[in-house]
Amino acid sequence: MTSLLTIRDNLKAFCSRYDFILTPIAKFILAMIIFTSTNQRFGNVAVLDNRMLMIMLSAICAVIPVEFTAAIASIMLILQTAKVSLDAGLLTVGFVVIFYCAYMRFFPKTGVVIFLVPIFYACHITYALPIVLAFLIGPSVVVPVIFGVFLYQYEICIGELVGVMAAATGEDDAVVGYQYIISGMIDNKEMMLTFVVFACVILITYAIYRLSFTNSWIVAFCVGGFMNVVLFLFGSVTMMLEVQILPILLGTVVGIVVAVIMQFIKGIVDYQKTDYLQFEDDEYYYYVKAIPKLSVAGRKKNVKHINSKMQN
Amino acid sequence: MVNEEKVKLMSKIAIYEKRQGKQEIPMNEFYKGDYVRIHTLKAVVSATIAFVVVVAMVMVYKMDYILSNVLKMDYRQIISEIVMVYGIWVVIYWLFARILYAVRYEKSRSNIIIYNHHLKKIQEESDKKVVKAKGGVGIGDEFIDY
Repeated sequence: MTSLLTIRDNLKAFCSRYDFILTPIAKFILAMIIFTSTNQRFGNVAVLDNRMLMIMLSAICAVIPVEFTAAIASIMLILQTAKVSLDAGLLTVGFVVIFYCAYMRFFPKTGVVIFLVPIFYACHITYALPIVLAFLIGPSVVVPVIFGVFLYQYEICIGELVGVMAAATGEDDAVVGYQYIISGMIDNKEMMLTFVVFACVILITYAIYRLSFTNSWIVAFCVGGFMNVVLFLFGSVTMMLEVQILPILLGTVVGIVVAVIMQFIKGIVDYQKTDYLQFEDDEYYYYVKAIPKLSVAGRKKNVKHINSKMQN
Repeated sequence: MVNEEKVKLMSKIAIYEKRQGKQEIPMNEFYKGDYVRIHTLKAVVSATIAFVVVVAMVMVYKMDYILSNVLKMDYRQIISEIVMVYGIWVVIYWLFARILYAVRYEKSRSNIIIYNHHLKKIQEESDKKVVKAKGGVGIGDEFIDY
């Protein structure tokens, strides 16, 4: 355990020292993943799928606040859906406006989660999401997770609409497209069940995680995982849905394991970073490099003297 | 000569201004009540925009029904229902925004007090006059002799 803590402290010290390069790299990778997955899943506008363009946009996102990554991804989403049909594009604009007004105005930094949910779906670890995000971000993550699930189902609807429109030859395709998407979303009971279960699991996990008893975090993850499975089963029986139990079980177990690992390394993210400051007074200009003091626990060494002499 | 204490204080102030200070310093230019009121009002405007978009979406979705029943519909009831839902929606947002911004303001207070304290100490350091005199040095009101 001590060696693990030493590794964690060393990592923290490393992150603190090289924050000026690590943060932009992390932002670049995040933006690249989001843009690539968004454009590949839709793939309607070939220009946006250009590797060079995505690298350039990600490079810009690396040096600007993370909320702009969500804004650029939203614009991509609007363009991709508008290519399918104009009304689908307008519908996406409507959803983006609702998401901005209802959530991002208050919590701009976590709005990007909405674009990560479909990626979790693509990796088949969706059911791990509520447990991991509940303790990492908090109860406010309910809204972007719900919108993320909605976005995933929306993408499926758009994909189906492309097929329907390719087959249709009528003059009123635009109105049909709009109504096709909305009907598809309203009738999707599985999506509604996912909304309710994810919201409950996030709130329960967070509430237990915040309790003050010893090891409340592991209890929170286990109870959250248990509720995840039970609520999905209960919901599928009540709403008469066919839900596969194995992915839910596996996803939940993965969620608990990932949450335990994240809990261990969570302290690393809370590091104080090295700052480069510049200020002046009446007499001097100051260029200061402020490095936080970090104590890294070293391994205790036991030195055994084999040929030691007895001293009297 | 560089004053070490002053540099430390200025660095602390610069770090704060670079990080949380960007949000918290403008926040504390207001009284708590005014700050919460302004942001609650903005939140209500946002909630209204979101509500209008939702209503517009529903209306477009139900356009066929609306057009075929345009003369038969009970507009008074529809409008009263919309206003009622809007009222509930806005009250929820109003309450949420009030709590959120009040908590944010309270959280920023301790940081601002520390920031102001540092500013005051810097001012005191700057006001101290250092005078070399015979037999010692006068720093502000103190005289250190040798």
